[in-house]
Amino acid sequence: MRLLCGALLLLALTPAHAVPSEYDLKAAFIFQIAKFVEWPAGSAPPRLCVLGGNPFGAALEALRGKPSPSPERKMEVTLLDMGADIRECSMLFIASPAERHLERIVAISRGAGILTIGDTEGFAKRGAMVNFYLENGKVRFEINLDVARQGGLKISSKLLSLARIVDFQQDR
Amino acid sequence: MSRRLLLFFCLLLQPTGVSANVSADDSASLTDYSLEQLMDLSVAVTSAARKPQKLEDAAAAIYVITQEDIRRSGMTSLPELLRMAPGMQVAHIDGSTWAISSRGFNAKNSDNLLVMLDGRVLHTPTFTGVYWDAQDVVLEDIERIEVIRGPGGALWGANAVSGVINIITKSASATQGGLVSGGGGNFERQGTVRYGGKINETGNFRIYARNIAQDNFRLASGADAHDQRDLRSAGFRADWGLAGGNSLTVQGDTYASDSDHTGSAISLSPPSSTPIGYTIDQKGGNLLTRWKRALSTTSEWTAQFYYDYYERRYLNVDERRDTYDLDFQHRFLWGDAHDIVWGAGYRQTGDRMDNTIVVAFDPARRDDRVAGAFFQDEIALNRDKDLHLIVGSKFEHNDYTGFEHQPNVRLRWKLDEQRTVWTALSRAVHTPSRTDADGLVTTTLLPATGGIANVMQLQGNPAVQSEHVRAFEAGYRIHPSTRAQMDVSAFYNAHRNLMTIEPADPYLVAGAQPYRIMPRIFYNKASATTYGLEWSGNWQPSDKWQFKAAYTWLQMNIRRDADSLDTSIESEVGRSPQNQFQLHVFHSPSAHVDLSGALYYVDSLPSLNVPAYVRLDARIGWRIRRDLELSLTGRNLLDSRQPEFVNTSGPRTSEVSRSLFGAATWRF
Repeated sequence: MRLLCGALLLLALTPAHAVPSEYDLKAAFIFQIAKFVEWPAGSAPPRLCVLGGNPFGAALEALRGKPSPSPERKMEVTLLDMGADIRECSMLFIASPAERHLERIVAISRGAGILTIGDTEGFAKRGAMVNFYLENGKVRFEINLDVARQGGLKISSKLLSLARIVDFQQDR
Repeated sequence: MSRRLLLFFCLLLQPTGVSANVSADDSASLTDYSLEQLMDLSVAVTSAARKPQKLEDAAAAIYVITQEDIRRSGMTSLPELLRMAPGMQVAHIDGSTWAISSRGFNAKNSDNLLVMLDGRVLHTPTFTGVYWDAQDVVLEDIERIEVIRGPGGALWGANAVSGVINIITKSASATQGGLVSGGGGNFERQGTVRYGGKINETGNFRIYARNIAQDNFRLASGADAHDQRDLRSAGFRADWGLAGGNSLTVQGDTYASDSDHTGSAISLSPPSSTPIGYTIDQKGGNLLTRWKRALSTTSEWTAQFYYDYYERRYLNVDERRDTYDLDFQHRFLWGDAHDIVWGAGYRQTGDRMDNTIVVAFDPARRDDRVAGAFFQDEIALNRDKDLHLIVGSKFEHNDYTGFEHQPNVRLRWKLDEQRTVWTALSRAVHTPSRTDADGLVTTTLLPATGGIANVMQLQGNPAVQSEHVRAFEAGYRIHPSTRAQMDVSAFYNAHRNLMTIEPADPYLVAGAQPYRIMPRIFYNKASATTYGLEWSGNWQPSDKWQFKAAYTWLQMNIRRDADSLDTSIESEVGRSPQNQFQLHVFHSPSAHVDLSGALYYVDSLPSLNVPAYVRLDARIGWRIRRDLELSLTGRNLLDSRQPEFVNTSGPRTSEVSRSLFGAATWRF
């Protein structure tokens, strides 16, 4: 009995064997991505806001207080209500229930140093800077570079090399 | 640690360990992974089922024609594109005129649809319909065309009685680079040049020039129909995305069109009526600016101003019109349950008519103003937000009939992720046009009596009232997967105050050659009920195949009042097809080739003696390089020529010919 139990414990705690949930993985992505983005000078500590509910669950709470990008700067995490002021955020995750507000969010975040992130099909083409998508069960992300530039953000070439670069809804 | 405690831990951990939900501790360790390591991890499949919401949650019969639909159709003009929208009645009358309507009352001068291009109203107050011969847009620059069947007066104001067509072009940021396209065939030639670039970090622009030319159709006899047309246009659009949530759009167009027509020349001595060819020349331009400001994630306002000018000349008739339009709207969420949009607008339109004996307006100059305001509240009725009530109304004042109100109430119930039902009750009005109120149009010469010629003249009536409709609609939408959708809507419309043409006492016009005028005056002396069913479906079994089909059934009953002498009004019934069916098949055998076919069945139009017809259009497109596409489109392939409608105001009927059109599009 004890042996079996120990095996189960091992299974649960070894990441190599556990299958992470989609949003645990995306939370980790957001945390890593922040390290490759340069905000305009004078920006406050990284503050991740989530709009449209919390699809991350506890994984979001786990990001709170983690050092990013440098040890002395601790990550802040805020769940926003619809209609809240997003200009205090340095990263904004737009969950799919907030989809219909995307155009306004894009407009407000322009020049405001907010990294907009989503995970809904077509978001990047509609002006979100980073958009997650799934490919063969793995998380991938696309980046709308034009919007990021307009937003006053510098994205490192390393991040760009891992991303699919998209434009606004270009014709083919 | 006791054995019992360990067992308890074990049980607690077991479900989280094997399921997809990794505990907070695990995700904390995930954050230590590098990006490359994260990209190697597979996610639990449970949440991969989440699918993007594709379908519009609209409580109305809406259909969207996308850029992809436009490209694959091979069509080269705006009116022809509307054919593919389920429930629309589109008939090509001759080279440059179309009869376009939805839910009945189709006519050459159909006046029940509100058509807008980027927020600018395309119809002219002269007859509240669209001069389709003078409308053009770079089809590649269209983002989408929204076609709403049913009244739209509560949001859009007067003359959105049976539908709203909203043509939306792409933002300049989405049309960067160059595009050269050109094509020709046995009836048509056209060319487009467009270039888009950056103004600065925040702004983009595009400019275009375009020409479309069409040869004469044929009459039933095979002779030339004298209905060729030529339309030249150029324009620009610039968009800025500015800091602080501001977006600015400035756009403008200028155009010149000429189209040939055949009318009847009336003379007081025999032969009294002879066919006469003439050319309609229209020149015009417009300038529009739109400022959009997002105040917060849930609140924004839009202010828009445009100026539109045109001059239309034919024979000795000269019509000039200037329109100024100012529009403001504000949308915001109020609390958790209310999505509110309200707005106000003002439009001033002035015309100058050069009167002739055949076509005149009294007065010859007129300035009209329309001022209005609207509100709409979309209320979530329950916590799950699957039941919505939409209430709203437009209140408008116009110089013809004064104050008009156009309320609507809609209910939308999302049964689950796949199924939505909706129902709506609405009222909409059609306000009189300049012709309805002030026109003097000599139409036909009747046999002389006592040696004096009798001339029938259509006369406007300044006291004519608005036509109005009360509409009941219901619809059901289901999309079992992203690859299959189906949409059904039914409607029952009660039209009141419909305009009729009533005879009045004849009177003599003295002169060297005196003649008698038999007036026919506009009154509101008829009513109608129309009802129908519209079905459309879309199925994409694989990436290579797509099928779309639509069926429309329409019934109309028109009754004139007891004191009405207009015997022609009832024949309106036989001018809209009772049954219409269309089937579109798209196939991409490889990444470079796409094929499409469109089959239309349109029922007979008994009042016009137009038999039912089947029309087949087909296109093959070949992308020979990333930046170069060739295509060949065949239209009306089953018949060498056939009539789709009859020009009731002219002596001849053109027939739509079989045609082939080859085109090349190069992007750089």
